[in-house]
Amino acid sequence: MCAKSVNNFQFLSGSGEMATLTRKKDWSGTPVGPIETWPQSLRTTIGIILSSKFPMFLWWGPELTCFYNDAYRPSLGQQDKHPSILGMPAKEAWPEIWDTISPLINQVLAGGEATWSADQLIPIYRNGRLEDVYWTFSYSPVNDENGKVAGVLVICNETTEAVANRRKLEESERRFRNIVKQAPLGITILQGKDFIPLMANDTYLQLVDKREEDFVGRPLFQSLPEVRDVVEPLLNGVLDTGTPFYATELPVILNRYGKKEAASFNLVYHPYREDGGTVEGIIVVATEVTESVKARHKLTESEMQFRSMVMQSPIPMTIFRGPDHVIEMANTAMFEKIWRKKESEIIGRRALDVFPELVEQKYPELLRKVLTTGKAHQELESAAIVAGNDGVKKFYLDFEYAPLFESDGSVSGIMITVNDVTERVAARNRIKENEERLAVIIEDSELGTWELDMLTQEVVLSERGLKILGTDGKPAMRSELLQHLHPDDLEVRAEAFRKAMETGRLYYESRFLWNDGSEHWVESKGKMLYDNAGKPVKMIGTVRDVTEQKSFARELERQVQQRTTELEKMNAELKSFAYVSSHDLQEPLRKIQTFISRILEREEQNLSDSGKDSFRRIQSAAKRMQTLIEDLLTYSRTNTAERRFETADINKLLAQVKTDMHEEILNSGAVIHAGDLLQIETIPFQFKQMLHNLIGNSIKFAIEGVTPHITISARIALGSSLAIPQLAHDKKYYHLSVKDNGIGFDMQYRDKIFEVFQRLHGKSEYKGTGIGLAIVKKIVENHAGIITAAGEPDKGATFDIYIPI
Amino acid sequence: MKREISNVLLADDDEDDRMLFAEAVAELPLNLKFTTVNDGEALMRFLVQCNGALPCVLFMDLNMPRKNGFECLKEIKRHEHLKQLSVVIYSTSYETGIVDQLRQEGAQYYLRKPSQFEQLKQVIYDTLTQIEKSDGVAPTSENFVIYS
Repeated sequence: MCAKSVNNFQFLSGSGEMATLTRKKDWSGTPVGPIETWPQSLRTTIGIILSSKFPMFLWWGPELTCFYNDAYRPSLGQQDKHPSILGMPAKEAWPEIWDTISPLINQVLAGGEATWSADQLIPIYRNGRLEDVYWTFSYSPVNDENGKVAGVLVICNETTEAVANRRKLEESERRFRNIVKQAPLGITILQGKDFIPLMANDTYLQLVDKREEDFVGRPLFQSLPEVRDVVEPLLNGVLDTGTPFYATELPVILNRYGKKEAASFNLVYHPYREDGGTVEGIIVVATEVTESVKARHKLTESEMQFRSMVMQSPIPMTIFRGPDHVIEMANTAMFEKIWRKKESEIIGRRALDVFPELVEQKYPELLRKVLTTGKAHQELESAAIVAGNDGVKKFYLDFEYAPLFESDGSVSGIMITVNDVTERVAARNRIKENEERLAVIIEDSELGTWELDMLTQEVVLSERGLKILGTDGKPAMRSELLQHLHPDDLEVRAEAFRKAMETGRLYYESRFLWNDGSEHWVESKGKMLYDNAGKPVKMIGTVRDVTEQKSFARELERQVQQRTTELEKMNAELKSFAYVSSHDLQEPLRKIQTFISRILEREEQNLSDSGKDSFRRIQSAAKRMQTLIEDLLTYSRTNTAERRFETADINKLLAQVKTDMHEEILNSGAVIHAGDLLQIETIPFQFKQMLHNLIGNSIKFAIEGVTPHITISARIALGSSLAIPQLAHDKKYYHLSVKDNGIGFDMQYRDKIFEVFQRLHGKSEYKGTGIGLAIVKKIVENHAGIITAAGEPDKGATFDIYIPI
Repeated sequence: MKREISNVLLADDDEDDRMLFAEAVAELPLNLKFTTVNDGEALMRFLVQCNGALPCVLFMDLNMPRKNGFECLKEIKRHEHLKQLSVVIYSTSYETGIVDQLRQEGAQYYLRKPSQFEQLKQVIYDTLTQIEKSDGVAPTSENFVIYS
């Protein structure tokens, strides 16, 4: 029956899922009742719904029983509403949205207008997932046969794609606006003859220091009257011709940020056409370049300053350009100190052409590297050979090759800065050489060196120093070193250091005990070094093993001591000899003489002539012996006697001598001619002895029968004027001359006559002991003087004495 | 005021010299009391025992055993009563330094022993005459040595 009845309802004949479900459903338990009872209006409506491809839904009757078509079915999603809500009252089917939809439904039921909801988001499950779907839908009334509203038809239209497209459009417009708004370029669009800004982005507003609400919509030159003179003709030109205007670094005076200031802009005024027609306005794109213009100005300025700095710098500088190192410029210091060439020989030429000697050196390679890598190159104390006009010279240079960059980052040249440190290097080399030399000397001299830190008391010894102190050459602490010091010498050392604190110099000799038990004498010398405040900070010095010298010195000392003792003994013996000769020898002699004189007096009448003659001969011999003893004594005293110099008037001394020799002078009839003999520093008794002997000599060697004339003169003369080679030229001498008219002598004997016991004549001819002139010579020597004798046989002799004063 | 010399003392260890001196004095035309002592110690003993009756002049050898002339001179010149005594040094040797030293130490004259007897007589006479004339006043250094 059922199938039969179904087949009877044409409006449910569709083959869709919902047509089938609706047809097969048992509607008898629902408010609308079995299908046969359905009014025609319902049937018609359902027929439309089920055959429509638009999603449709129907609420029918007072209970609002639900119907829907296949197109609507996906809207029910995965919930278990489908197919259960078919035939269910709306309130039960949509409890979750009932409050929202019931007013709309009621409005429609109450005879109101159909509702319209556009682009509502109603996600549905389809294509295997939940999709956001936009719908435009309406609730429209469905009348029954009586013309009364019996149901609400919901017709839906999916607008997802339209919404998405619109959204995209909106998004892109929004993005564009944002881009324009946020563009780092100032952008504004000016419309019409009054150039009214339609919009202006933030950058532009910032450039002109205006707020959007003050700027947009007002004629441009009301907002910016200060730019009218510059800008208006340009804008008009664009409006009139329709050609864009481009300006770079256009200088404009702007009132902004509370002051008038000069600004520079890169500008584009582009005509703006509505729909490709006439020019409606101008798109303005502006970039402010004030800073970079300023910077470039500054750069130019600083470049000029730089050039002038280079030229005036006392440090040699030059600039090479290009791969051939063309010398672009160089300062005076470079020309004069390093290159020693004329400017005209160099500027504009290639460096390696001007200085071919560089090719052999490392510099071309370094230059090339700086050019290619763009990295600066510095070097210290680099040896360089440069051939200037005054010859080839070797320098030591601190130098820098600094790349010069173009604006595109390429290296176009090299700036070279040079500091001549030849002197410094030479000085250091000299010091180093000296140090090495010193090291060799120290090594050769077998000195050990040491350094003592006065603060920490740390001592550092050279290897040899350690060896000398007996530490087997192993480094040792100061306390360890002191353990090697001989205990008896601790005080000597301490005293030396005390003294060094005062004088700054250390010197002492002490014994060190080596590990092998041997004892070594060590000479320690040191010099204190002070800080700026005069505080001793360090002592440096040397040690030297002086054991050998020391033992040699001690041996020498012992020998000297021995010799001294021997000499003292000999001296004493000599003294006693002198005494013996003066006293013990003279005494018996004197007695012989005295007794002979007694005999000759008393016994004269008892003696024969020959006896008397014999006694006289004895007396004469005794007299000779007495003279001999006295002369010898005088000679030995002249050697040993104390030499006390005092100022003496030689005239007086001569007078005394003449008194002493009164008898001899008288007997010989000698005449003494004496000039002023002056005053000198002398040993008076010796000087007297000398005069005595010289006068005696002249009298003794007088020519028989000729009156002796003795001439004595004196003067002070400069050594250089005296023509005696032994005399010092710049010294003054007392020159005493004693001249006689005696027998003289042959000049070949002029030295011999001063020797002891040298006699030129027989005893019987001239009396004399041969000691007198030796004594004279000795005395002259005691006065640090010299004596010369000149003579000729029978023409007299002259003795010249020169005593330094 | 002149001083009459009446009493002469000789201190000398040499017998020959004592004899020669005695003979010389004896031959001089003077009335003299002449005494000799043989060494320094004897001399000092003698002088101390004199007790006020000192000789007028002492001729003294330097080189004497036991106590030499230098020591005796020092003692005499330091002694309260003896320092008035005129001391004449009578010696074989003659050495300037020693002569000066003796003069400074208070000797009145220096007399070197002559080698001729006649000379001896002469210098003794001269010395005594000088002392009488000098009246105790010390001679100048030039006159100190009477014979050398």
